[in-house]
Amino acid sequence: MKRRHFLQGALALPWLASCSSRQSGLSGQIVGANFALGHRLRQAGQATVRPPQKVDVVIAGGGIAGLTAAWRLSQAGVDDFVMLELEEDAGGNSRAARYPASPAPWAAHYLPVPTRESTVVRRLLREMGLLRGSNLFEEGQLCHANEERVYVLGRWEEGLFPKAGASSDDFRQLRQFEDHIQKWQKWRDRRGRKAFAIPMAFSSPELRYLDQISMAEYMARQHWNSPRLLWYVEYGCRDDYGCSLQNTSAWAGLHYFASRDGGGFEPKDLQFVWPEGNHRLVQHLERDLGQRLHTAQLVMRISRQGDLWEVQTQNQTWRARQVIYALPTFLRPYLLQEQARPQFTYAPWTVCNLVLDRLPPSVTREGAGLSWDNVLYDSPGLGYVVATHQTQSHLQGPSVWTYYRPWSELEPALARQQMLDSDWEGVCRQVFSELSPVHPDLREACRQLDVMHLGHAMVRPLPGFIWSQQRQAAAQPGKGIYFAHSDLSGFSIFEEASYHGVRAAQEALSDLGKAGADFLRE
Amino acid sequence: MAENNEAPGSSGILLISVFLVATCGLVYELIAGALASYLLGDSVLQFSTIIGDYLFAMGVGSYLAQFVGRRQPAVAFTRLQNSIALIGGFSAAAMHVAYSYSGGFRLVLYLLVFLVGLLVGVEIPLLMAILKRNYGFRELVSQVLALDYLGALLASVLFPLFLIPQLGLIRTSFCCGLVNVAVAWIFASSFRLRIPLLRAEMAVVGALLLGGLAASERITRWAEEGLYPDPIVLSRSTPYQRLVVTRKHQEIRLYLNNNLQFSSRDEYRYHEALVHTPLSCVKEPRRVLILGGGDGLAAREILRYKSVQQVLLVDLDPEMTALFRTHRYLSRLNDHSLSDPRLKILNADAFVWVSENKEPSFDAIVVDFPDPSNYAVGKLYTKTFYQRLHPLLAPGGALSVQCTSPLFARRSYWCIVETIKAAGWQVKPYHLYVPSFGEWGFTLASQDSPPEPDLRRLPVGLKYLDAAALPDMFLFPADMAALPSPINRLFDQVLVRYYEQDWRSIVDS
Repeated sequence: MKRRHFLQGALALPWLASCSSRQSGLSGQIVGANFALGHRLRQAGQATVRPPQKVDVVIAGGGIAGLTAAWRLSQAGVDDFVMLELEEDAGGNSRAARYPASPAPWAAHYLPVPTRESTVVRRLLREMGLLRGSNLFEEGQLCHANEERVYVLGRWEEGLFPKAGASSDDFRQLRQFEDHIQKWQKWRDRRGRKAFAIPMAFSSPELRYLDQISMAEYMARQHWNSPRLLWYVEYGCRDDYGCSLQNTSAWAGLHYFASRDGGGFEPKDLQFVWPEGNHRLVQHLERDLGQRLHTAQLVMRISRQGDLWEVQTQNQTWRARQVIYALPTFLRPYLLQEQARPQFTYAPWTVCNLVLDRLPPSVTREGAGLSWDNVLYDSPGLGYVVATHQTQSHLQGPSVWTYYRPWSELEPALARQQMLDSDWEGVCRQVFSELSPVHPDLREACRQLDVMHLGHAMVRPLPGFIWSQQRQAAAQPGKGIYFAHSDLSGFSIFEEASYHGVRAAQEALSDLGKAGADFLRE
Repeated sequence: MAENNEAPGSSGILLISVFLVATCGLVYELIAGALASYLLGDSVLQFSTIIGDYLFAMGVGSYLAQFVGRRQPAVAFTRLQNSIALIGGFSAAAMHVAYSYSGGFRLVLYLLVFLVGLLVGVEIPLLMAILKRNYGFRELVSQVLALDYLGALLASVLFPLFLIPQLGLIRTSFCCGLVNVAVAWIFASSFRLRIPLLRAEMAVVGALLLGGLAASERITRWAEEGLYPDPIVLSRSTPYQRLVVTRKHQEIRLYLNNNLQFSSRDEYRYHEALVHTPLSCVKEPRRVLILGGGDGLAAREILRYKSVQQVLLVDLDPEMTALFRTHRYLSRLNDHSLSDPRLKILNADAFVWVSENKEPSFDAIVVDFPDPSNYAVGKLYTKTFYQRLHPLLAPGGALSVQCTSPLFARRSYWCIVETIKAAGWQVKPYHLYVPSFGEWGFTLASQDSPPEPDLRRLPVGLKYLDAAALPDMFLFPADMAALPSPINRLFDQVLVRYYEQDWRSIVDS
């Protein structure tokens, strides 16, 4: 699961929160999107009960984009705003589950050391004391060794490329691929822009032609046909985009491998990891929100009424001078009554948290020891992440494992239907049958298994989408309304969501005549 | 002796026999490969040599088949089946025991694989000779070979997915043996071989295998016991580790996850060096922290100081501390230190505990963790961990750390020393000889000025540490001398890699 961040956006579909059956000591349930409220989006607007309230700014959506927009407004001294969030907690894809043994992520679970261009993230990390000046990290929160291992041919290996059984041709192609990626990392256009930057807005537009073909096509043109290399590259695409090689634009596929350059720090592949995943960042962003965060609020309509915007939820109407729309773009036709239906498509995911009484003895079998990220070669899921990796110094106690399953092999609509139809027992069966060849004793160690279906987990960078006119147009502000969401970048990572959150807030501030420091550049 | 009146349908039974024989034969081969990989490591080498041995033996067997059972092929086949059942069925148990109790594991391994391969090699041509009466040559070869390979497929799928997870190696091998006996029995009855001796042989082998299956738990334990040189007096699996105590005459040994922790015969050397070196640096130590050391032996040494008012012992495993507090022999070893009113036990992960506690309240700290053999324990040897010890120590205090062997794991030892130094400590490395361990190393550390052990502060009644021994510990001869080393960091634990390489080179040589 290297390089995965999902972000905001589980509003989506009504998921059945079916309750647990308690056969043979296993409990758990399907948790997730507030479906009781979600249903009502399709029904006609209902009369609200309370009198309308006035506020300067409404932030619709409490994922990372909304939270960073609020953070930017507060930095500029704008405090008269509210944030409307569908779920019980803010954070979107960076929410967390809490168990006695350890908190655990519900989706996004790490943050790579930011690139030089990632000024918003750098500022945030400095504020949190994780980055001092511009070169000192809090070492304890960087991912501890060993970071990742892969299970192949009955044995765990350190790293992610499956080496056991690989031929010399597999290794030759891997070296070629790595050299190729290094060339892209060094590449600059005449104006000094990187090929693949984070935030992606700083990338050179000269390479937009790479967006026209799929990553599968790109690999074929380079004569890379090693099954192991193809698996390795596709693993990255499934991990970060929830997409197969065919469904990933070559530009996005290369971006995944070439964009994280370590931002001048050594070694280059460091990342921050917390037991609760990226919810650590959410806790920092939401600490001053207080009463301004309104949860269990389904935004049903956003409309212009004279000089003001009116934002209607299931039980409250807000009147505001400005609206920051920090919701997924595909909801715009419903909420803003827009005619145009943007072609934004989203990958569905299933995430499971396995609460373990103890680590099963099989964690120490054959080969590399338990790592933070544990991947099974040639398996439908992405493997599991160990929540206690950063906190424990032993291999036995209670723990929580987070298992990730992108539905990259199915069309999203079909996958969502399957998710809707599956019950808790069915998901448990799937998870255990996938992991039992490696951990036959997992079932006995597992006391609770909670499931979250994320119907619209992340926007999909299909070929042609990233550099399309409509993606760029969707970020254009209207009169008093500003758009912030990671999907405006074409892929869903923390750095992009926070970029758009801050950008939208700065556009709003600028219209208020309060343009201050540009966080996007310094 | 009714060799010639075959039962109807027996050619079907023969073909099923081919299939089952092939399945069991391959399972025995896989058992040998898996067991050798578990016990010897390097699975590619083990599997290659075992497959080679097995195929070669099958070739030899096929050649010898022409001389076997010329007159009574059915009887010969039944006996062969029975022998395979016996040898193959007991092969996993035999190899386990050979590993534990003799130096000849490899010999037994290759011999058993060869024997099974030889017998299976004889079997197929023999079956073909029997079947020849019912089939034409082409049909015969293709049917027999097809079933043979199909059986191999079934075995190779069943073995990793079902047999290993559900039954384990020893039970799998007994079960396959029973399948072989069953084939022999059905074969014999379909050929109406009414030979009492033959039946008796099959019954005996079947009974032996059933007995082995029933006792497989005990066999596993017995094989494990063989890994320890002395009789086991106590073994316990806690949620955190496997604890084994052995005793021979007056010598008691503790093993955690098969690694020797101490021998009662010489542990005083280790614990005197670990405890008195730092405590003699401190004037009137009052509060002392022990990290690890759940056996209470370091605590015993600390409690010799009259000035000590409070000892806090932070150890992960509650069962370990409870055992050494209450067990008759074990609590006598530590002089009942864990029941002393001055001592408090806290069962917690030291890595978490030092991150959450920052009171500068200890005059001395004794760090006694297991060796850094994996990344989890390796965290307790990182720069970050040693940095987090700083705020816990009162001014003028001292610290000691067990650092593995500077002789057997020289790079690891100096890597730990360098890491402690990089975390801002003044260090003095030292070592001594502990007969049951060999040459063993520690690091003495302090904050402002270099640590200075003072002989006059040593308590009376020590068995090792004295005016002659103390200065000697700080001298390192050439074969243990300092090596330049990178430091061990949380995100890049060089130490765990060094440790593995250092000890592997000792074990292999």
